[in-house]
Amino acid sequence: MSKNYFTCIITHGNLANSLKDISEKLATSGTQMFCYTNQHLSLEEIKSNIEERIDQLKPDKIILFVDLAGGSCWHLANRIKKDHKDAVIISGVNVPLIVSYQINYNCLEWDDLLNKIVEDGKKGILTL
Amino acid sequence: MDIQLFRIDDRLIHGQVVIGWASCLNTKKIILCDDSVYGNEWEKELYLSCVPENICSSILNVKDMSNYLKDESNDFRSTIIVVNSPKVVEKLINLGAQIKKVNIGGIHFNDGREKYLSYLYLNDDDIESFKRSMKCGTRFECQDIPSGKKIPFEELISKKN
Repeated sequence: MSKNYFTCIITHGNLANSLKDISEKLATSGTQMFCYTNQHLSLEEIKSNIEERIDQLKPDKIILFVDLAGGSCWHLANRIKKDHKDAVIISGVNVPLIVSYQINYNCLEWDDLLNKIVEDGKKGILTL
Repeated sequence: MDIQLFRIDDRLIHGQVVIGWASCLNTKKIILCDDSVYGNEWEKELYLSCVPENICSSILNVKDMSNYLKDESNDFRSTIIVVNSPKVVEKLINLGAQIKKVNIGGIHFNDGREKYLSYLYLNDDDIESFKRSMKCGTRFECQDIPSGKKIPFEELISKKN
């Protein structure tokens, strides 16, 4: 049975869409990802848009990727989590993390999936 | 009274304030002035959790902020004060606080608001509030990030009309 997770990337500028596009070029898309930028729209506006989608889709799990802990996107994600206690917020999102999410979405269970993608996101940061 | 940065930003304390302004100005303290955040423990904790440990932070209501500003023994030369709208500035002025200069850093799109800059959307109520504070001698300057262009608010609205 296919999974019903709500996946959302919220970032500054066009980063969310770029992360989605890049990950879909590198890996077969595992699931639909909704992308939001904090430019122009008020956080309230983005929040109500995301909550409308959550109400429509009635997902089993919610995952919110944001770029910067403490930034406005992170604030917004926390406001969503306030009403959806089980939602997971992952900050510091990067290409390896999103690619890992796409690759492992259908083959790992929720907790394993979360551990794996965070691990892969960290592994992608290297100093040579 | 010299204040390092008095900023209107409807996102209050976030990346642009902490990473952008505070690190550029070598800020020692950030004060968020907002009655609604002050009255909500969850909101307070959320905002204070975004401030790096080397910067002191506090959340005040408008009344306490005005008293704090009126006390001349306080030094704000290394302090950023953040509010979310021109109406808070106006309230502080009406309570007797003297605010010479205010940075307009971001008021984002919402129903009924018109675009003035990429980070500034205003309705008539906002503009009237700005004008009332300007009559009391407060200067407003639009600038989202430290490297951004400074635009006097008066110039911005006169061009638009």
